[in-house]
Amino acid sequence: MKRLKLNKLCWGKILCTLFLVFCMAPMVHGQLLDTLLLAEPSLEDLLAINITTASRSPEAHDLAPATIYVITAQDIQRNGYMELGDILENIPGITVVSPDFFQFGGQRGFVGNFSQTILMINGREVQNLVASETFISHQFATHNIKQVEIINGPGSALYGANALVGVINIITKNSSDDFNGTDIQMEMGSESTWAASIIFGQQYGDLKLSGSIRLYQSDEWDFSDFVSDTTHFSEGFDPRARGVIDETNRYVNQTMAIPLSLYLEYKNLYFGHESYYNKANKGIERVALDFNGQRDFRKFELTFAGLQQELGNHDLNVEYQHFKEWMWGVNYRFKDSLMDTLLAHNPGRDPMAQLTQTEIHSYFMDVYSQENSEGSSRDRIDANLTSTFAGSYNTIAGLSFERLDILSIAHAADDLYPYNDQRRATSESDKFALFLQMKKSLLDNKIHLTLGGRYDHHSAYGGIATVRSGLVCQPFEKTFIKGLFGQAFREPNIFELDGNTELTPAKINTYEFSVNHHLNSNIKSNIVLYRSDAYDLIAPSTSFVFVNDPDVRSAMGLEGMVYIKYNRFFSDIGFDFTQVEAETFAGEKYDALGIYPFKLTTGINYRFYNLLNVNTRLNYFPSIVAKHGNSDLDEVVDIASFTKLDINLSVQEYDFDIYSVSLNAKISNALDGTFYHPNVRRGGPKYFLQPGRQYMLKLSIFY
Amino acid sequence: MVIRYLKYLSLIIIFVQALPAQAQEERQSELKAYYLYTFSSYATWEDGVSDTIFTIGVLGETDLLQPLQRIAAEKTVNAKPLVIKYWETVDEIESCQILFIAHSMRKNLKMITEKIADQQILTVGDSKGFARQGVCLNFFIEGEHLRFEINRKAIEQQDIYVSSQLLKLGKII
Repeated sequence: MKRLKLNKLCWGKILCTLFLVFCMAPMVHGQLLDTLLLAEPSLEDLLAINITTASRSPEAHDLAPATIYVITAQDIQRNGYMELGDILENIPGITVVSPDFFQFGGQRGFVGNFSQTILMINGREVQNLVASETFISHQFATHNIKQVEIINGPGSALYGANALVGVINIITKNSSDDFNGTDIQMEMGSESTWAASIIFGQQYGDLKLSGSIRLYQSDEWDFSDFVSDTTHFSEGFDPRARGVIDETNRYVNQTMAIPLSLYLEYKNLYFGHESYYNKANKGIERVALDFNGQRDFRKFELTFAGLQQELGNHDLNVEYQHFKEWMWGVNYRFKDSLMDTLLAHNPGRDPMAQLTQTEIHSYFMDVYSQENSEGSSRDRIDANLTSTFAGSYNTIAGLSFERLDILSIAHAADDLYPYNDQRRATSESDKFALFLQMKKSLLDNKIHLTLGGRYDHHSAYGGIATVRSGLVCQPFEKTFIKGLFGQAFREPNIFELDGNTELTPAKINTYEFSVNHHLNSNIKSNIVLYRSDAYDLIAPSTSFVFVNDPDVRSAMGLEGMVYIKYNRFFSDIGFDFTQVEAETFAGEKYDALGIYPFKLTTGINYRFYNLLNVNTRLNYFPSIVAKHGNSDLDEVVDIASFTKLDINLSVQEYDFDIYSVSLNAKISNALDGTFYHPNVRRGGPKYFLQPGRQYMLKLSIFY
Repeated sequence: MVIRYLKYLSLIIIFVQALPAQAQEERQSELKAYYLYTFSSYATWEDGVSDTIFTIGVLGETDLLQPLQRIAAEKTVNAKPLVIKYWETVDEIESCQILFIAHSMRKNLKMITEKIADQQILTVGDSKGFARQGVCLNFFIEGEHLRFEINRKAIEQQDIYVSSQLLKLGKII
């Protein structure tokens, strides 16, 4: 702890010294051209690099007042990323844990179910309404991604609640001004996986019309052997709670996802729609009695309409957003109370005998449903005013009002379609927010200062203010130094607030110092040193009662990326070191339970004959100690280190007169290694086995 | 410490408001110059093109000349040296692969297109309406972005093949 405090005291001194030193630096013209000559962007990159996440306005990557990683469509194609999860696992500072249902994980040592990260599409929040979780299953595929901007660090001063440790912003192709044409994609792979997508964009005078739809279906990896494994999967569970996998009760995880996007723009008015339907059998998330019978459905809709108006030096954007969400599904989990009912109905039955399929379906079916109801909804109005003064002084001011109406979930034990439109006492809430950010560039663009603040007021938990500030300097032609401070909060969700008016938002203060350096035209690197102090984290005290953790949880670390380019060779190397405060668990003190202290991700790409890209991607995770996934056991488990190798062959946009063709052939986990992810959310299996070798082919035709 | 740091930043922001504005136009010129260089990768000149050098011509008064010369000092096009030539009048135009037509030449557009007809020159303009008047590519500003529009007919008339990528990324008129 002493070391952490010393670092905290140093921040202010470091930043002030940097400012004074670099104010004296000579002015250099042609900085943009220098950057372009070094980076050698493609035409698409010139149009595409549009950093909107870090400060809600476009700016160069190196100058953004945040630690931001941008993955472009070219990176996606080169690496053969198929879904958002593939991208995230290759970003420094991000941990992705996959139970083959939806992604768990988090950023910079704060891991769980991604509820501390805000997920957006084109700057619009798409967290699920019911629990404010970043629900990433198969609905966020890469087919329509122009770029993904990932911020490691707090974002509440701009985006409000839940941007506690980071922001993921997906910029879609069809929403972009420069997408004109039609892109048809087809994918096929192992586990009977297939997908078909179409993206289109067309300009008719002042009218722009674009959209995208995708249909994805897969049987997913067969974990039959794993879920039958009482040592690695269901250790510590009542023997009767383990589903028996046999001819009549197979492990099934059939998934389907249909994301849809529509966008219409006429002059300064626009209208859009983002939605998805997602279905899964829940994979290996829980120890279930019937893996075939359990399932989960999600339906999410966001419809928006807005006005973008130039008013001299000001740009005004007013937007209305309407969200709808439904979730429903079936669980088959062992409960003592249900077992008691079974025994009461069947006197003389051996209480320890294995459950039959008939008994499982008669007594252990737990349906949760909003399917036949109005669903949950949220209405939001955002207004932003972006202003430029004297060419280099920018401000963004905005306000936001939203009303959230969460529908409670109907439960049934004997009806697959229960109906319930009841609302919880806390189901309705209002939020109001004001924010202001100022940014000034000076000394011929050598210094960039950002200062912003936001005030949010929630009808349940009251008001909270957050600030962000950044000082970005370019002391030398090829060097960018950033000193950042930001605050953020995560609001308690409807389940956590239920009957608990004392609960307050979790808060975090984050300090960052980073250096982006272009060593020469072939090597570029960025390194970030950070420290975060989280207060009032929301944690369960019992199964259904949540409290604010009185302890301050701190994490600090170092993360970075190095890009190397030489002729037709290209490589990116990402790494992070994470140190979290020691935790006492089961009477022992552990340095980092379930947190990888180190991660290395590297991609090596070679382009043959200016046509074929061969890409190998290596991810190394060291061995860790994690909490046992079974929350009834106060035990830790050792998870061995692993190295995952992915290989991707791709042909990028080969021209045939009026159309171009792209092709991808990917082998995931090419060495067919066996490795596990920690169960960071607990309440389920010991840990999560990951799929073995898988194949995927993708064909894309653009015309 | 945090409050002190924020106070310090606030003072700096107030202080620096009086400092001179950045050269936005210079940034735009640099970006346009880099676009011109990048266009060379998205077009193919079938024949009659010099085997030894790649030439970008600049016609009329413009700020692009200096950044273009910097690019030429560092870059090549298909392993050929990149040469930048500047002409003040239409009569001076010589052989080149890309011709940038400055805003100041807007009254001479017809004369320019007639002079370079069938010479396999990819013309690039910088003014509203240039593309509709027969210039192959033309820059325009949209929001915070520099975009370009494409006159496919003009490109076909110049007998230049441009990739579908270029057509995809520009605004076709």
